[in-house]
Amino acid sequence: MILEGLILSIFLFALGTFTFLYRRNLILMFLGIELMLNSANLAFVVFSAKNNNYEGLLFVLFSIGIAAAEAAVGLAIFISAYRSFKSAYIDYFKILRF
Amino acid sequence: MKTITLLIPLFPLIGFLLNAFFGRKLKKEYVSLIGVGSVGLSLILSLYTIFFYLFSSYPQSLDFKYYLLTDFYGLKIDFGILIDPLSVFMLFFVTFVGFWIHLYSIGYMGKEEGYSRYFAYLNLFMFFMLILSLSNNFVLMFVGWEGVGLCSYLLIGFYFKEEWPSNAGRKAFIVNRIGDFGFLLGLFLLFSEKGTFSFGELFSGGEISLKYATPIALLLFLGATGKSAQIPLYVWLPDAMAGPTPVSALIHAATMVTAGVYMVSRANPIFEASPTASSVIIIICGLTAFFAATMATVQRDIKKILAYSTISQLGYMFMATGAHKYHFGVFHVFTHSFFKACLFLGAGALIHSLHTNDIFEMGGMKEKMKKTHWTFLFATLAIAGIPLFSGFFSKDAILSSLFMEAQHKNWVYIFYALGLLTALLTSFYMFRLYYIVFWGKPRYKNEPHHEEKVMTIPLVVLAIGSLITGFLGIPVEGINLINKYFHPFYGELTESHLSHSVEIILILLSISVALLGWRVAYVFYKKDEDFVLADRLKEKFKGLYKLLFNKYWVDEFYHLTFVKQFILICKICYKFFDEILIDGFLLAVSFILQMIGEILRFFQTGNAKTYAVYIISGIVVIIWLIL
Amino acid sequence: MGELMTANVLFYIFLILTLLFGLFVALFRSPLYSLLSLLGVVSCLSVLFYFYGATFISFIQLIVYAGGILVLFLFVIMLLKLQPEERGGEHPLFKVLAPILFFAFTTAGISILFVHRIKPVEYKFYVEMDEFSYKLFTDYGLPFEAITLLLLASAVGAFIIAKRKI
Repeated sequence: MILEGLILSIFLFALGTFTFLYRRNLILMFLGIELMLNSANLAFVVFSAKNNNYEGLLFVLFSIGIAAAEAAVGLAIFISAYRSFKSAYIDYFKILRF
Repeated sequence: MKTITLLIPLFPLIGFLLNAFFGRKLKKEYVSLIGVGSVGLSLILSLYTIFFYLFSSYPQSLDFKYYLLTDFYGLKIDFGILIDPLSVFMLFFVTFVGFWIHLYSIGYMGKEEGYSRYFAYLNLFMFFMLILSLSNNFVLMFVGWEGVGLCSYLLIGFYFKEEWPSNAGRKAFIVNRIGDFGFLLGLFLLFSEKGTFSFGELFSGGEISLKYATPIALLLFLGATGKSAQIPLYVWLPDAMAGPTPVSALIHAATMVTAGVYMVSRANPIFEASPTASSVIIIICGLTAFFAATMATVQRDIKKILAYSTISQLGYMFMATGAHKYHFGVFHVFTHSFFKACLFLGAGALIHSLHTNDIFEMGGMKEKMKKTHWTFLFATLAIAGIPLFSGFFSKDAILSSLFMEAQHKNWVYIFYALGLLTALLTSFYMFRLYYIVFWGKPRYKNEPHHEEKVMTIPLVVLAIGSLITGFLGIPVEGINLINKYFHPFYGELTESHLSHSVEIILILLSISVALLGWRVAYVFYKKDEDFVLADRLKEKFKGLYKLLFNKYWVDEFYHLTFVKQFILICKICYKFFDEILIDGFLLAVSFILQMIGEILRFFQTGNAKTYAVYIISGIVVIIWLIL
Repeated sequence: MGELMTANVLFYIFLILTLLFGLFVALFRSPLYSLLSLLGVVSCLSVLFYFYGATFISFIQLIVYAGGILVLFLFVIMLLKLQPEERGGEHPLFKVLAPILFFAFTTAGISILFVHRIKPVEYKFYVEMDEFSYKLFTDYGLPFEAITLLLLASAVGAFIIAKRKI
């Protein structure tokens, strides 16, 4: 059960990476990030079960808190960016680049 | 009394602050009210102070200490005011002449730009000048000394939009710096020996014992040559005429340039302790007086003539101090401030109405500007040394003191003769100026303006002053007020050793010299209205004329020897140290950093995905490494 | 024995479901579908957490993640009426890099698991709620408070950023 959970975690993380890299829609990229966070949570829980202690679970709790904060700020940035560029595509958000 | 003496310099400071910070927004009337009123108040207070000082039973010197500026390992410097015969003397004419020139400025500067700026500077100058003359120690005096230098610089460069006034201001400042450097060194040397700067402690006994009296005295005198425009540092004063004319009258004729004489008279025990320094003063200042007078004889610019005349008169004052008759030096400072201020203000009135400085473009102003003419005539008579006018008494006192000195040191007879010759030249060039400007045919192009009341009243006051101030020093034992006044201060230095017959001969000699100069000028420039004789003379002595007209090429000489070399050194420093060493190093550093940045720029795309790629590839690489 | 079997079967079913939902998240072009798949992932994970004995975290996952964060995403998507992403138009570099990194990461991760041989161990794990809470508020008090501050700051920050005019 430990091994399967870890493999699932690796796959979910890789899928999240793929989504982040492949998609151009900012909201889809956010979803990829959420997926990565969830895979990390899964890995924490699995290791916590394997080592029979609570630290992993505590970190899952913190990770969920951070995810909530990230989602709030990220979505706020997304909304204001969407307002000024009239688009959700990240390709347009590059006026500060050289 | 203590508060009132403090208020005397404080009023101009307040006036300066008001005009400097709010002057632009105020109406002109208020600006002039503040500017003139503050000086007027300090004039009233100083008259009050002088009155009570003279006619009450105050001790001979009052030393008011207000505030201890510093107490650092025995270096005690007070902010203090010293009231003694010398400073009271200075106080009187500085505030008096200053007030009338301020009043005159209302008329002269009325239509100029920067009206409030002008009055702010002028008030600041009054403040520093009063600090200089009232301070009770050398450090505070130096503050005033530098302050008046600053104001002089600011006011010479008043028309800073044109190039030559600002250059002239810079020249004045830099030349003064050289003198100030000497002054400072002298002060340090004095302090290292005596451990104090206070006049009261240094000069209380009237005598001072110094190991390095001669170096100290010479260094202090170097400072005085800078401020009072003597050889070798006189070159700034003629250029200083670029400023407004009332400024030339106040700063570059009546008050600031006499600061050197004041300082030497103040520090007289030091100069008394060093006979060498006194001799040096006589030699240098005698030469200055003579050469400046020769230069004045051929100039065309009215203000330049007066400037050279000022240098020459300052030479006289110093000669008196060199001959140990400090009170006669100060006396000449006093009378000179009246008639020279009057001359400058008269010249200002002429320039104001004709818009030219060239005396050959004036002519026949006698009828057009009656008050200016009369006052100018009075002042001319005074400076030429015509009997009963003030210059006669003071100049005669100086010449006789030189004669007295010559009885100990025989070579001083040469300088007595030089002094007489200078008196002749003075009389000649002043009457030349007078006749060319006021008599003869009118040669001006634009019609003269009216004389304004604010401008004529100061002229009249100063002309009266240049008539009567001389009577303070009638050269007769017993009624010579100057002698009496300074006797407690200078002690036996004020005593005369000449017999009456010799004195009378000397007086007759100087009168005849003055009259001779007048006569020559009359022949050349009054009788001969087209100046044919003068032109013929000019043709005959072409070389001499050129030499004098170009001021002995001293400016060019200085330019070649000092300025050019200095600029060369600066250029070398600039090219080598600044451009190659410092700039090169910095450019190399910045170039390297720029290259690194150019390389790193490819990785910093600003695209979030790229960074994600870096992170993920990093993780993959790490995983493969720990496998 | 039968009970354990059922549990094992259920565990694997949810495992595969999670993987499938994860694939859907990556492959759907429509934000809405993708989000709903993520919702599936999150719910299934919560079930898996339960299987691992972390009951408290499993409920937190369901309530906070599924009920809070993802609903926030849903709000935004509905509010802005986001359309599915068009085909093509991807950056060629990332189009190539994304699959490559996907495979590199998975192979690397799985190989490390097998190289280091994580053995299936016998475990009896369930969380003592009081012990967990005690640890949270004593040993991990500081991070906990830091997280609360972070949440507060992010709330204020989100408010400021999303405002039209400050």
